[in-house]
Amino acid sequence: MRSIALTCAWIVLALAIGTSTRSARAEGDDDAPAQPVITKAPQLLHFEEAVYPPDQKAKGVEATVILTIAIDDKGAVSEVEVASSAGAAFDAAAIAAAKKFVFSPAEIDGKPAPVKITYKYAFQIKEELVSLGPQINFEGTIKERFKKAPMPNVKVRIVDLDIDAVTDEVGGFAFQDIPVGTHKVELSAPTLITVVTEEEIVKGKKKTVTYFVEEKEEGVDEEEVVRAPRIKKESVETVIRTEEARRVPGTQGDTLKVVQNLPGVGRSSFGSGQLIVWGSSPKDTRVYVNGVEIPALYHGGGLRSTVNGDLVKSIDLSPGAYGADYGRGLGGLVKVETKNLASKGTHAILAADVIDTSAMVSTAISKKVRIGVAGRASYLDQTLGAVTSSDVGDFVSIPRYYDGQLLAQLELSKDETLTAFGLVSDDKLDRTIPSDDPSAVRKEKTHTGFWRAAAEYKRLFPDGASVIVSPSVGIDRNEVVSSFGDVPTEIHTTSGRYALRGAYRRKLNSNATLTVGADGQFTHTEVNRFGSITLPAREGDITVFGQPPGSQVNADDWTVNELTVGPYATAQVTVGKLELAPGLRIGPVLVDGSRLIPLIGTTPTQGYRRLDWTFDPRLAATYHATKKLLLRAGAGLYTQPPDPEDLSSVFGNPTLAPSSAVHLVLGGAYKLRGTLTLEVTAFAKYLWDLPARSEQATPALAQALDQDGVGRSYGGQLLLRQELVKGFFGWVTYSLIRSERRDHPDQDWRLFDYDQTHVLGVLASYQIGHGWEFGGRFRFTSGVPRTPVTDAYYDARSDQYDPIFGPQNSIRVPSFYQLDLRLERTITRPRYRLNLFLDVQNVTNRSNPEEIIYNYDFSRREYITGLPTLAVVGARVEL
Amino acid sequence: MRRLALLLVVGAGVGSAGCKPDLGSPPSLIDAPRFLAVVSDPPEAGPGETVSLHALIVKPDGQYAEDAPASWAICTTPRPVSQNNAVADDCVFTAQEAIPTRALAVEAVLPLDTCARFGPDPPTSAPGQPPLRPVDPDPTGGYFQPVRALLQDTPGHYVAAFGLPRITCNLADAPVDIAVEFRNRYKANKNPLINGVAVSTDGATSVDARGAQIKAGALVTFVTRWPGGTAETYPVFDRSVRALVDHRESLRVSWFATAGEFDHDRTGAAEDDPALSTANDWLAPSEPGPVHLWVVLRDSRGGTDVASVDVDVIP
Repeated sequence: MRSIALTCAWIVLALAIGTSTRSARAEGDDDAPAQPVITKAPQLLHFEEAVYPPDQKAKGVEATVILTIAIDDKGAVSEVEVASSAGAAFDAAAIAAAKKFVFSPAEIDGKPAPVKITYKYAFQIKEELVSLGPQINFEGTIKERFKKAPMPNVKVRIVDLDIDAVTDEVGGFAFQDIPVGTHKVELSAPTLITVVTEEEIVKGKKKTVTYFVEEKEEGVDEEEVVRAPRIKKESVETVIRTEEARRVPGTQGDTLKVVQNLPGVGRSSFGSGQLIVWGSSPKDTRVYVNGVEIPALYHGGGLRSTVNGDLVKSIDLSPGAYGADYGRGLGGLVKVETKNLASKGTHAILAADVIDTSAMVSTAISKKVRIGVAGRASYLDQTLGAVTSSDVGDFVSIPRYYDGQLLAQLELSKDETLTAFGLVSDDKLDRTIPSDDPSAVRKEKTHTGFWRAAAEYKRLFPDGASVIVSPSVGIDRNEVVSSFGDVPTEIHTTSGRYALRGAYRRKLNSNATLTVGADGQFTHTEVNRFGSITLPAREGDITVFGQPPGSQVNADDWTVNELTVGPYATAQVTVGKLELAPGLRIGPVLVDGSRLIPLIGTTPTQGYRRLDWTFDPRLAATYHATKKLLLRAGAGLYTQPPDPEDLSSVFGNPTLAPSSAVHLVLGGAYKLRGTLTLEVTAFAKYLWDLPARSEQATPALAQALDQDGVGRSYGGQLLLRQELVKGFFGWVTYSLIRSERRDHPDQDWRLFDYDQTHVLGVLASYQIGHGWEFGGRFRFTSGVPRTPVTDAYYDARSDQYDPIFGPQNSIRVPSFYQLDLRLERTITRPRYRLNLFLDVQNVTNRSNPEEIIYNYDFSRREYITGLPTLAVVGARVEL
Repeated sequence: MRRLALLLVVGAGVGSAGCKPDLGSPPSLIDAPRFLAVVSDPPEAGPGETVSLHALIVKPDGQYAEDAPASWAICTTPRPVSQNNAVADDCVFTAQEAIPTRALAVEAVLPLDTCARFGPDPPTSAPGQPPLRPVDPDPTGGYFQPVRALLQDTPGHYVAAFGLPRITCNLADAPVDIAVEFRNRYKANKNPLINGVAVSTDGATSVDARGAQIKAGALVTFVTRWPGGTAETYPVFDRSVRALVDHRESLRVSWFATAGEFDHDRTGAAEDDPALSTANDWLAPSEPGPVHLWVVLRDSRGGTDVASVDVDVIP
């Protein structure tokens, strides 16, 4: 409510000495009496408010009257005169009020005395909240995020006060007399993704908000989203909706494959599907599903993700400088969260294309119990074999794979849930490249897979605190049986994994939140290896595509137990516009191995045990410079236990210690328009204690690997992204990255095997109408580094030439660029929705060089080129 | 460029994949001076023993380059464990013990410490330093002493070839009883023997290929034969089971010709293949004239034999 404003008066500047005071003597008259001095100024003890002239107030006229007020030696106002007029009405009102002022007596030379003062009386109109009974101090409007349409019948609940309101026909809601402080606000509706946010109510001010929310798909509680790189959980994130991710050209509808299109992610090598994040080794990037680590996000060849996208709610990619709640990796972090299943009814999704078929079924057994199961099986190896020439297998490995997921959700209480889930993934590859030459016959049989069984208990306490506990068990398997002529390679690795994660989060006050937790993992790994010393190849190996492995062979079998406890604490502190998230992760890394030195004769086996302590501080900062501009920075130390496969006394080194890295990130995001955002990030990583093959011809026993390696990668990335609006979405990503390694102190820095200086991606999709959608993707990447062959010599025993190499990784495969298009038709019926898509890769049929290949004596160099135009047709039905 | 285009037609799916470049002349075509082999006789010897090494270099005219000056040296540096190549880079140009001759045939004495440099004997470590890793064997259980032949093919440019005679060493890391059994059972390798090269046309009975007349552009089949027992059986200490396992040599034939086109550059018989011959189709050149062919038979333990055949391509 608006009220009449009062004047605000103050005593100005100077005091005029009363008439009883003598005037000053003449200058230079030393005999003149001393000038009186005001030893105490009068103080206004009673202020009388002037009556605002009604006609002036109605007109909104403000004014200031300067008065001369005579105050007697008792403090009473004896006379008031206008020194500067503001008009008769204001003058009269000011004089009338001033005559009622009461002052404390002024003193001159320590004695009460009459004085005159100049007083400025200002007439101002201001707003004032006047309590006239219950007042609305929190109101707002809810609109649909993309259509911007008002949303009626949305329940707005203030959780901590347990009061709610429902939006009206224009999406409006209001609350009265909400206590001052921060309150948790929950928005929910049958067709809405439930949103929880916080609002702060300030004394004397009304909070007016507009919420933009997303409608969910029918029968689904929450939408799958993919989040772009971020520094910490609470940082501003770029969110890609399910429907965007699924429609990205070149991903064949696999939502998780959209990660490969995010900034900072390099293009994986031909048919590998590896995640190369900010110049890190793919083996250094960790993938978690609901906090449970899995060995791979994608099946072999990168054809599909190992977790069915229809069960996934979100996937977060943190290229670096992530928080203290995760560790054991020097590279990036990928976190996948499963979705909440539909709260009622039974739903099914069936998808099929030329690569594989997948299905997902979920049902709500009761109001509180939901179960979902999903599975996928591939047949591309069969379809390829039926229609391709036999030598395709020389270059492209096409595995046969399947995966399955089981998800059960139990709502124990309103704020307490228990989720159980199981994951299984299996890849098999069996190929033979025959030859009439026994030394040229190549056989490769691989079998990789994993399963996990896990539970996740979540509870939200009334005070806003929360706890999450997630135990898990599982097994990773990796089997490689191959031969290159007479040279065999066999690796059989089985790793049992037992993990327990737990976190307790509590808000300390309105500006600080603390999370404490532990991320423990015990692995028992058994490895049996036989064959070539140089297979599988390691990063940093100098070789050429297709070169036979070294002919030296050996054998070893060993077991490794690794225990990492990983207690951590993170805090989030808000100081004005600045959010700080310091964290600390410490913990022992205990490694217990079965064999310290190789078996020699009948010497008894000697085991070993070592304990390393890690101390990994992390810090992330976010500064909300303006409503549109967000600045952020992050830094942290990261530690990675040694890979059990590297701890062989024959093929590796049992004394390897953990490797370490420091990450630094600086960047910002600017919202150009409502749904158009520009993000720029710079980063640097430095790694040390990296294992690398010994460069010695005769290294010390059991030290085929040493740990002198260091690495660095640095650069920046840019993301300009238009979210889905009016049927259009798209983004432009560009990464400028340089990644280098130095395996031994006496060597020069070299380019990392996976280095890609420039990675550019442009992607857009538009809904034409009538269920039709058209999209395109353009990619450009620098070619990966390779070591040139400068000469060769003849090995008469094997009748082959061996290459003589130039400087390591000093040339590159030519740049890659490709245009992909996607056409999709959606048919919606009351009982189902059908998507048909045509995904065409390499529309221009460009011959992209993928690898360098040489003739028999290395005198001629050519390139193996990648896929010509590849069209994939698929269908997806949602029931 | 040979395109490995493929078409996926599954339902309405269409696709294609893969592209392999044309790398020029195959290794079987002798269109420039070329090392065919470095034959060691015997192919296996112990430390301090002498082997004869003969570098066979042929020219497009079908002649052996017997007068080419070569420099020989015994390699002294083992290759790093990280390397796929047969010898250390240092052995190509440096770290050599020269053999004073310029001929293409040479007598080489295997160094006394060859089993420590290139074999299973532990290398000598510096005082106070940990023991060093011995060299690992190849799949046949063998160790090899590289001997380099360096030939100047053009001014300022040298071509290197390595003969790798097999060295007879002890089983250093096997239990004593197995080491003793190995010593008793193992027989040093012998060079294989080519028993003749035959040729047949249109499935007809093969005849001795020497001096055979073959029509220009005809497709014929050459057969290289070896006598029974050429593929020797030998024990290998299998480190995965830590026991002796009997193996049989695989045999490979490398085919070379100054003209025409072989179907395969190499053929052979795998370890489990009891064949006594191997065949290879050859498309005669379209131009008549003499064609020189060579076959090089190798066993998997490093033994070598070479034979040459001259045929006439007639109109």
